[in-house]
Amino acid sequence: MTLLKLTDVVKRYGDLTAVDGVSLSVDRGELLCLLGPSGCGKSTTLRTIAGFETPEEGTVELAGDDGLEDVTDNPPNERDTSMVFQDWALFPNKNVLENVTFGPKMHGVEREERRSRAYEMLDVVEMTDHAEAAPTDLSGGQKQRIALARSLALDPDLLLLDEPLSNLDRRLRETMQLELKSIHEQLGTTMVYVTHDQDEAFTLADRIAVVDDGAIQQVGPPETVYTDPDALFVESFLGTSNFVDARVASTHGSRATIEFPFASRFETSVEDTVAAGDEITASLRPECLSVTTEAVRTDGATRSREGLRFEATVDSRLHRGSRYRYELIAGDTSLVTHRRIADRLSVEPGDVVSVRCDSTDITLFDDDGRRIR
Amino acid sequence: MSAVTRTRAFVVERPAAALVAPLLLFDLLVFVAPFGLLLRISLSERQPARAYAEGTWSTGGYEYLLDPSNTLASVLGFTFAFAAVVTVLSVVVATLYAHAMWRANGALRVVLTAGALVSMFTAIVVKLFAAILVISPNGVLNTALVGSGLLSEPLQLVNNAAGAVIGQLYIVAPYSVLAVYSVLSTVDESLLEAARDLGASGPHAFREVVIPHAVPGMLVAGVISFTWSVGSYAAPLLLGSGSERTAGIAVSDLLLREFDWPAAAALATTVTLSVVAALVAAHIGVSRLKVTTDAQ
Repeated sequence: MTLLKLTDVVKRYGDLTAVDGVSLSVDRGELLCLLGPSGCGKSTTLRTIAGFETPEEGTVELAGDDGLEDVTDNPPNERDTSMVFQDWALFPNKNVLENVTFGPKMHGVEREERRSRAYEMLDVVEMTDHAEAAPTDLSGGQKQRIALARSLALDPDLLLLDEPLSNLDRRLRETMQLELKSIHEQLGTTMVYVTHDQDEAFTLADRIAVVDDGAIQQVGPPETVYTDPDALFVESFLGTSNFVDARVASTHGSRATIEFPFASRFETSVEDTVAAGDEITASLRPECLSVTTEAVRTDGATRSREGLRFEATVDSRLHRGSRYRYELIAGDTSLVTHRRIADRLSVEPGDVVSVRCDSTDITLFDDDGRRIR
Repeated sequence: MSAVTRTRAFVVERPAAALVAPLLLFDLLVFVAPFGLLLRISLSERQPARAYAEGTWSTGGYEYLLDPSNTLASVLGFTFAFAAVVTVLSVVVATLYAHAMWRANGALRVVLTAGALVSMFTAIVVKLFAAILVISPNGVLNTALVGSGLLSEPLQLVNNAAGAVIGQLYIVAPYSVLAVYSVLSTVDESLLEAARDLGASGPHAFREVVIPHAVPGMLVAGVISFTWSVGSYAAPLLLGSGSERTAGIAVSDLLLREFDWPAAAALATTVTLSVVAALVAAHIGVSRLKVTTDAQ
């Protein structure tokens, strides 16, 4: 059942268009991550849902008693949403308990009831012992928990989280991600979560919406977004990849031969918008490059149906914690791959190696960054 | 040991005392010494022929204050009531104005800030005559109100208590505005958003988030307004009538017209000590209040 529906939302600040036609729907109980780089419009989208921004165009609808209701012009206090702010925004003049009871108090809940509800939420975030503490005496992680409890105490239909973990150190962030996930499973509150951290999005999300340049590039379950990206931006933003400029050598119907700069080509089926001579971008994920020291056997067969085969020179090897990072040079193109310590390659910088990449692991994008294969 | 080495040793050993010393010296020179002199004069014999009898001791000046034949007791009463009214109005006006300044953006904020500052930089007498031009029965305000048909008769805003209060408010309010604004400007705007998001209406968010944060600034504004208004002279003189007699006016009359320095000094001393007592009481009250809120 749809809880939130955005339709063609546009938000401008003077000449700057922060949100450029976002449409999105979120089901009850779902945790959706808005993932994108800084300044992509994801926070503005969230603030529009909360009611802090009024969009120039488009509508925001929230599920009410009789289906979806248009709340585009409602102020924040007249929407059944609650926001966890990036800097938590705890009231410094109130203690932890007063912070958590604030929402119910504003909604006219009786003192005893709102206190018991607050204690219940403090229990969920494991902060019952700090009920009397002043927010200023708490650590970042504790403030984060209180901010979450404060929003949850309202039992909102929709919980909005604006990079709530970005001010925490990495270890704490990872712990909190898992806790947030378990709280989500425990309470079943629908959440829209804004983050620029793809690991966080993959850990938490039921669905990920990748946002760039004020627009949603792709929405889908994490695996789909990662393995089957619609656009070059999505591919490049989710993890690292090798982007190689390639050229369409020839086309026969829906099949095309793609020519790579390192004197290698392969044949594949592509969208019919592709024409011979097009400049395209191929993405080769580092984990999909297999490297062997055997020479490329098939002589004239640098052309293969199964994928790419080519020779490369090992340029450098970097030890990075649990893995090695190898940089390979093929022709003028530099490619990166990595291996876990246990699976490290028995190669030294300067060695010539043969590299293979299955055709199923190669994604192609046209000039405008649209997926063509 | 030379004076230089002794001074250096003092500065090195007690840097805090050394830093405060110039200020203390200044205070001693411009406040403590004159006030001591004032006290001494207030305890001299009153002598109609001369300003006061040097070298004599008497409580005549203080006894004169309590003499029912003059109106000095009611002058004192009026002064404190006047100061209290101005203080309350000043803090309320300043809080609203500072809030508007804080919430405003761009040009509006500049205009509001300039409004407070320019009025501060204007000499008091100029300011008060300007106020007369605006609020007198033939002034701009009344002409506009009557001309637009909102009022049938002009409001009486000069030569009465209302005039005195408006004039004094005009003098102290800019300082109060800046005192409150300096504190408000440190409020994180996301706190207001959080309050709104948690269901608070605009006025509720103001009361729950802005006011508690602004309290220290409001206290400073209150102290500035009160101490200044207790000593008010120009505003009640120019905008009030003869019955708006403050202690300042009475002291001036005693000094210059009646040439009764011991009585003038006694009145001045009484006012000053009352202000100090009021501030101490307020301080104690506030710290009590803090303790009880913390305990809740």
